[in-house]
Amino acid sequence: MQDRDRSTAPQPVVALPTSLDSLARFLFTASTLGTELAFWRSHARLEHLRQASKELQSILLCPQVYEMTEPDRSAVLAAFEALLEPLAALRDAIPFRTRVGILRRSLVPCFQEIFILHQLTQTVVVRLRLRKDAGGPLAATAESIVDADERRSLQQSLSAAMPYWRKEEWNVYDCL
Amino acid sequence: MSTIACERGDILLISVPIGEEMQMRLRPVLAVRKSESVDSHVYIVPLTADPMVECNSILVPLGSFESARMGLVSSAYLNTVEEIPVPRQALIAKIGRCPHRLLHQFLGMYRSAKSRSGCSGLSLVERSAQPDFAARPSP
Repeated sequence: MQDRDRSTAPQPVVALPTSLDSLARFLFTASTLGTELAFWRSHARLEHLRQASKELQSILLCPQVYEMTEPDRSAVLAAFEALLEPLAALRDAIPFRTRVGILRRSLVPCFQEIFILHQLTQTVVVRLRLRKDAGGPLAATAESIVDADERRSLQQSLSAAMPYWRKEEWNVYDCL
Repeated sequence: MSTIACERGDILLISVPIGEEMQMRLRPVLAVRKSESVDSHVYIVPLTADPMVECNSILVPLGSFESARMGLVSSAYLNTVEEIPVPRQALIAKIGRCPHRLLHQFLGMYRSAKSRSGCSGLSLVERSAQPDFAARPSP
């Protein structure tokens, strides 16, 4: 199965760390199985998923990843964006709006880990976008209030939070 | 004009004018009331990088299930400050939901802070073995 995964999965431009590379190949295979099977397969690989989360945590603590120059940064960003897409699809398929049945309760740790994996991958992506000075799809909508008086009024209403919101690290939310 | 309806507990991105040059930036907030009408305001409390002064705060660390469910991409503090009405047009997107148990904890602190006007400090979200969506999915 692993050989088949390796031969059919899209080859990233940049080599991801081992556990993330394995995750990318697994997600590629899982996407062809349908969500129910994908969840059960993820459940069986829970330790691997946790290992991938740890790998992402260590990447988030590693400044060299964000300090690299072009075109390396773009290549790394593309690799993580490619990983994010199937993770988002799997996360969106998690049944939150319906009652989780007894059988599916055993999947809860796996659902949790999928959410965490998606979040950590997305955090790497937005930090890379921020360094690249590239906004995300939502950035274009930020200029929703054009009138200067309205902006001043909003700034006034939110004045208590403003000192905390000026932090540059929080511009990652412009890159979502 | 935004047509996004929001429920109490939704995590929203709002467009905020930052600094003297009033550059519009996206920042996360928690909706504390249901809001559907297009012409209504959205009532929020801010999520911040540091705990706000003179209120109780709960740290939601990056990498926790709660933070992931909320759609955050940084560690953040939930603050029990007075709810703030913001015009609906500032609302850009819904990025996640505050898990039931955390929302319950926050609202409990929020109500007690309102009634006592006091501050008892910080709380920290701890990762639970069984998140509440197993037994009690989000409303």
